[in-house]
Amino acid sequence: MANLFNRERRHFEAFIRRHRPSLLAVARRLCARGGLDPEDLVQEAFERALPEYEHLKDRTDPAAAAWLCTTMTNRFLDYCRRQRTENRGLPHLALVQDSMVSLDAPQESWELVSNDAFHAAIERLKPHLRDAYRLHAEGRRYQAIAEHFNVPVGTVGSWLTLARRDLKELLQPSVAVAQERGVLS
Amino acid sequence: MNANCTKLHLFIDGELGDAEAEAFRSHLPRCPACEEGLKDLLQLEMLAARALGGAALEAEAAAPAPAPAPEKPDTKVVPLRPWARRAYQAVIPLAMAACLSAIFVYRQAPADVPGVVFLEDMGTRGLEERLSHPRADHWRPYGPMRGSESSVEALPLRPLADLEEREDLRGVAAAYLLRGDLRQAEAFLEREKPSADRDNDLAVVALKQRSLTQALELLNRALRAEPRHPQALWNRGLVLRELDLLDRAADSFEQVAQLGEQGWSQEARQEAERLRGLYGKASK
Repeated sequence: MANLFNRERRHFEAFIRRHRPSLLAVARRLCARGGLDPEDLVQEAFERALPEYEHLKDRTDPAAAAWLCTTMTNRFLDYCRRQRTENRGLPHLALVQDSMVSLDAPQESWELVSNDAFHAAIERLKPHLRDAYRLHAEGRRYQAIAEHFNVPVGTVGSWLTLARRDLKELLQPSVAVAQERGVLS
Repeated sequence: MNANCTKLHLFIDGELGDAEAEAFRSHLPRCPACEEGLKDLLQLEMLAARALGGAALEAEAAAPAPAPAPEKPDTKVVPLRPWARRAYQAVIPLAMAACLSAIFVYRQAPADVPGVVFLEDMGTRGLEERLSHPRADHWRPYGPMRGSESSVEALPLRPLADLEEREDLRGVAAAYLLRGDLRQAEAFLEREKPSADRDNDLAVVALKQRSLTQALELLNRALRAEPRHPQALWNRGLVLRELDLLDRAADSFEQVAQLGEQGWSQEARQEAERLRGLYGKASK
C-alpha cells in the first residue's frame, strides 16, 4: 500500500512539475494588477486536478494543460463574481457557486493543438508580429518590447492583438486535422 | 460592448493600471463576450507558455523551486483552507490523499536553498545526464563547464546541511554530482530509500565511472518500476549510445521526446534523429 501511495504521489508530482511553470506564467500576468495571488490560483487548479487525476493522467499533455487552464480560468472568474457580489453586499448563490470543469466536456479545440503545430503557426506570422509575440511569450512587458522595436507602447498592444487573431486562424487547420484523425475519440 | 471590452488583451497581459484592472474584474462577470474572450485567450497564452515560454519559465525555475516532497508528514505543509478540507475529505480517494501534500510542498517550497547549490545560475548545464532531483533537472543547453566558473567550484555547505537535515539526500547527492564528486554523491545515495529516482541517480554515478552494464541494470530496474521515468529514459539512451546500440538509444530518446517536457523534449528528438542517422550509415 505504501508503494502505491508513493507511486501515485510521484506521478502526481511529475504532473505538477510538467504543467506548473506554464500555468504560473499565465497566472502571473492575469493577476499582475491585484485580485488574487497567482500562486494561490495555480495551487487551486491543482487541488481541483487531484480528485480527477485518475482520468487526467491518461490524457495527452496538451489536453491536460487545456483542462488545467480552463479550471484556473473558472476559478479566476469565480473570484471576480464573488468580489463583485461582496462589493455590492448582495450574496447571490447562483453567482458565487464554484464552477467545476467536467472532464467529459471538451476544452474547446485547444487540447488538440500540439507544440509542433503551435510552432508552425508562429513561423507563419508576419515577421514583426512573430517577433513581438515571441518576446511577449518569453515574459517581456509591453514597454520592453516597444524599446526593442523602437515603436510606441500602443503599437505593441496592437501587434499582439493581431498576432493572436492570426494565430487562432492559423491553428484552425491543425485542429481540423487532429479531429479528422479521431484524436477526440 | 463598452469601453472595458476593448481592454481585454491589456488585462490579460497585466498592462492595465490598478484601478483599470479592478474595473475590468468587476466588468468581467457581467459580460459574456469578455468571459469567453478571456477563456480563449488564456488557452492561447497557455500554449505559448508551453511552446515558447523561455524567459518566463526560466524566471520561474530561478524562483524558489519545488523541493522533492518528503515521505514523512511535513510540518511546513500549510493546512488546507476549511472549505477545501471539507471538500477533499469527501472526494479524495485514499491513494490520492498521499499526493495532497505534494501540491502544498510545491506551493511552500523552501526558499532557503539557494540556486547556486544546484548550479541554477549557469547558462548551460554541465551534465549530459539527467538527475531525478527537480532542482537539478531544469533544462538548459548542454555545455561542459569551464574550470573558471566559480559556482562549479564552490559548494555552499550550510544549505547542503539544511538539505540533509530535511532528509533530502538526493538533493545533497545532486549537488555533489553536479560538481563531479562521485564518491560523495554515491555515499548519500546509498543512504536514500530504494526508488526509481535513486536508481536513476546511482546509474548516473555508474555511467560517469564507465560502469555501463551496472548503469543499464539500474536504469532498467527504475524503468520497470516507472516505465515513463523521464530521467531514466534519457540516461538509458546515453548508456545505450555508449554501448554503440544506436538504434535502441534513439528509441529511448524518442520516448523522452514524447513526454513533452520543455527543452528536454526538443533535445531528445534531435539526439534521436542524429543517432538514427548514424545507425543508418553504420548499417549500410
